[in-house]
Amino acid sequence: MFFHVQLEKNIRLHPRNFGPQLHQTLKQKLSSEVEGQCTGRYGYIITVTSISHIGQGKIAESSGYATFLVKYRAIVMRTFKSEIVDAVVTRVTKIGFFASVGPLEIFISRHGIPTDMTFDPDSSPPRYIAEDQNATIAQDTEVRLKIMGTKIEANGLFAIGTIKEDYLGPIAIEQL
Amino acid sequence: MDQIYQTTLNNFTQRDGPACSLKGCTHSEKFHGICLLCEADVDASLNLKKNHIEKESSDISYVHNFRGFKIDLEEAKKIEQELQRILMTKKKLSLVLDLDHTLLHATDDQRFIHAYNLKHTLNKPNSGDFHIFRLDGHYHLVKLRPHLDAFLKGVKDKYELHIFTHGSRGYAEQIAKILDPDQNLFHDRIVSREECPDINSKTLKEHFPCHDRTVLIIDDRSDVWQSYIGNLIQIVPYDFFRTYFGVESEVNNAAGKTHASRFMLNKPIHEFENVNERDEQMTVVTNMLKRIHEQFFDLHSAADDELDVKSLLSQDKHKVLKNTHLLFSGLIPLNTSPHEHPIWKKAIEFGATCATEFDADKVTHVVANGPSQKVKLANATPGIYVVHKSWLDDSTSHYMRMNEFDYKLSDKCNKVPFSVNHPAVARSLRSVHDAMNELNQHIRGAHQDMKDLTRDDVDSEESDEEDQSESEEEDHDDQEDQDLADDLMKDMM
Repeated sequence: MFFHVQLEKNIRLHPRNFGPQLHQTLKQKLSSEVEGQCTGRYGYIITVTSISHIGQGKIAESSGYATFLVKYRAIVMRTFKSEIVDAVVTRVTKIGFFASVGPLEIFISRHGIPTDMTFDPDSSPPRYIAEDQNATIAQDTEVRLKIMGTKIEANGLFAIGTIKEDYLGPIAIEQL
Repeated sequence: MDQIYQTTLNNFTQRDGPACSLKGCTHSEKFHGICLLCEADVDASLNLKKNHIEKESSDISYVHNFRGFKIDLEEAKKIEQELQRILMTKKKLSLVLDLDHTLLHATDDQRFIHAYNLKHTLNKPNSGDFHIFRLDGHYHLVKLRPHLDAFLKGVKDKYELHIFTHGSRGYAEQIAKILDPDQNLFHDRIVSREECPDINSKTLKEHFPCHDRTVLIIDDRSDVWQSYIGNLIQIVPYDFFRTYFGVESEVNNAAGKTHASRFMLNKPIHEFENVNERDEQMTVVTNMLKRIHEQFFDLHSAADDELDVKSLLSQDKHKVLKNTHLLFSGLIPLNTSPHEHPIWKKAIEFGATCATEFDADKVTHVVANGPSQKVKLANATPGIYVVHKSWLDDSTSHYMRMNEFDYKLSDKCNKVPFSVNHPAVARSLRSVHDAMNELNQHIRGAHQDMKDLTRDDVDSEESDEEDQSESEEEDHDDQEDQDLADDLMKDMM
């Protein structure tokens, strides 16, 4: 789910940037530092939409760097337990498959896959195939899934999901 | 409570015993600490009850290149059994391949890269057996082993291929791209240094949790596969850049053993693409793998689960030196136990029996390095082969008993006789023969020309003379070529 939220961030700036372009530099630096970052509370920061306030810079005595408190609004993506999302399959293995929702990789284990779908290791690329042969899950398939749990670790956000419920599973691509 | 409990209602007709039993989730599969069965954060709950000491977990990672996933050994076995069953119905075995020194040789030596870049445009950088790629800011030049393509094509329908290398993940993936541009052979069955950090050993436990009865390994080193020696088909290390150019730089893992190469040529580097190689190991292995596959599925039946490739492999090896009785001379130091010596063990592995004393009734071969008492004794006895040590080496590396006469060792001479039956030599000889045939035809043609010239054209004698001298010159050249070819032949013999 996406949210538009107010956030703040301390930006450190080198003295060489102290000049007429100061605000411009701060905006650039903010974007490059926060976009794509992931926090436990807000999830992934997708993009900075506006800067609402730039505080007064404080210069550190020893280094000459100035620190500015920047308040900004950003679009964030945070996933919740039981949320239904559409995702693209990125990798298929014998114990489940991965699907990505933007920056988030969700793992769907074999326990989250309906029992009538079996792993077919010999096909290229490897895939899950339904008994009646009319549904397959391979790389680049679009699936609708339900997020079952998320976990935040130092190196990223991890989530597990399931397609073992009504109206979940591969989404048929409309024939044009 | 975030755990799911399994409830089992017992049969109430039974008077004794509990009415129902509760069983907590075993958390047998975890992804970054989240249980995949009950969605509980297992790591966190473990941290909460520190005093609650769980039994040593038997979790393994199981899947290639999948960080954060842990599965209980027993659970993994169940999945693996199912996959093995599918493989069996498809009549496939598993084959684990090492990369460096087995399938190919890589170098990051700047001299080769420079020479290679000079010759090839950037648009079409890879050609034939040579491939170049950039990894972590370094160029790597890869030379594939001769006949590798035929090998992969030959075994891919009979074996499920895995890569097991001590190179880095990125390196392994680059190589996989070269070997398998269509992603048909390996998919993601690649084990690299990241998954197997111990550089001195390789293990199948993580990826073949059930059993290793259907797994064969091809590697140039036997020391890393300590507990899986029975599955291993060891082949001669492939050291292209070192053998032919004396380059010592190693890209990845340490080379097998530093063995003094008899073919050390130290050619000029810019000629590296024109080396005429004599390496038939891939062909030898292909045939062997096909043989074992055929035997396996001849004997295999659904009911008989205990069939083991290890025994087939060992039988296949045993055939090589079957019915031979070897006596070593000058090869095993006196102060060591002969049964422990590698050469002894090797001979036994390939089906020979070995002796320590000369017994004219039993001994069939005397294997030696040079003249010795035993050699003299054996030469005096008819019916005993006296062969150089290289006979044993070549027989075991080609998985075929070599012709003893080509390795014959006389009393005086201790030079290694080069076998004409040695496949590589035979091939080289064939090309020499071809060249000589061509020369012969050429000479015959020149003679014909000369006859034609002397028969007609009488009016201009001067020009005739000129022509004749010319053709004589040509003849002379041909003679020289012939001599050269003869010399070559002698060298080869």
